[in-house]
Amino acid sequence: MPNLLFQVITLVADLVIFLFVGYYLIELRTKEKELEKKENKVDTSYHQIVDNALTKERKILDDATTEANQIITGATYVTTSSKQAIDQAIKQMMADIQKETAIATQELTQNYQTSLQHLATNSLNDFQNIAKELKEDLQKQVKEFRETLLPGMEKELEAYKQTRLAEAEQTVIRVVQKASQEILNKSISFDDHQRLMIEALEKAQKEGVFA
Amino acid sequence: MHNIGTIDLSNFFNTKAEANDFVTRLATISENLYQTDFTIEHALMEAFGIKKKDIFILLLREQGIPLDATSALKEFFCQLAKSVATFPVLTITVSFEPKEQTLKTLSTWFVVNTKRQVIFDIQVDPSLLAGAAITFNGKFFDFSVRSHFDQIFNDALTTKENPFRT
Repeated sequence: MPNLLFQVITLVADLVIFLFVGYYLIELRTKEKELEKKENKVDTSYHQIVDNALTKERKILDDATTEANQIITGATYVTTSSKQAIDQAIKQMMADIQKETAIATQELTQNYQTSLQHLATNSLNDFQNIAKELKEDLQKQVKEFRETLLPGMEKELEAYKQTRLAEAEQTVIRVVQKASQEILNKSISFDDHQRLMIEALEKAQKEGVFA
Repeated sequence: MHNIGTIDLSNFFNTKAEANDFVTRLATISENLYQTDFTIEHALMEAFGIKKKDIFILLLREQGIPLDATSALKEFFCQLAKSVATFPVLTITVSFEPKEQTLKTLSTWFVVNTKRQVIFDIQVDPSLLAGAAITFNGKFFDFSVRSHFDQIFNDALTTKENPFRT
């Protein structure tokens, strides 16, 4: 009897376990399905977002390309126009400058020639006047020089000449004396020296030096 | 009293320095006169040498002074020293340094020709060339050859032949 009970209990327990496992599997299957649904949903949303992004990207690129083309076209036009305008302006400026330069040059040449002519005329007159004044001054100075300075200079020159002559004479005398001294001291003998000394004493006596 | 003024002392001195030296030596002899071992010959020989001693002895004899008469000798020496101090000084400028012989000749000439002795003050000036320039009693006399040269040059320079004045 106890085995029956044990069997019953075991059976019940097994049944419970089977029920629990079955329930669990069912629940697991349900959750899997939900997950698949969610995954499908997410996948669908992802693809939709990517498609939208790609569409927007293409549209932006197309717009940018279009706009860039428009800008390039406009810029090319502006560049060409500007170049032409600048070229034309430069040509015009060159022409104007050449024209003005020619006019200015002609005026300057005329003015310069006129001024030069005036200057030459005036300078010639001034030069003639200055030369005349110089000539008169020079004649006056020469006259004054002859009347005042020249006689004094002649006197000074004569005095200088006399001084230099006297110096030259003294120099010659000194040189001759020195030469004579050298020569006489060597050529005069001791006896001659002594004789000349005695002669000197005799002359002194004749002149009454020792009286 | 001896006649000192006529004595020729040119054998003993001719210049001022020699005269001073002579007087000094004479004074030394005079101081030693009264020494017991004094003899005039010995003293004179020591002072002046043999040759001059003999001349001096001869001089003493000429003056009549006995060689052993101390007082007479002293008086003679004293008079001689005083006489030397009164000798006139003759400044003579010559062109060369005279030798003793030349001085003696000059001194002898003076004694012979002027009857008196002088003391020479010798000056040497080579520019004189020859001859002598004499200063005596404050007066100067140039009897040198240089004065002749100067005269010749001055004459030549003042004449028309002067090359500088042409």
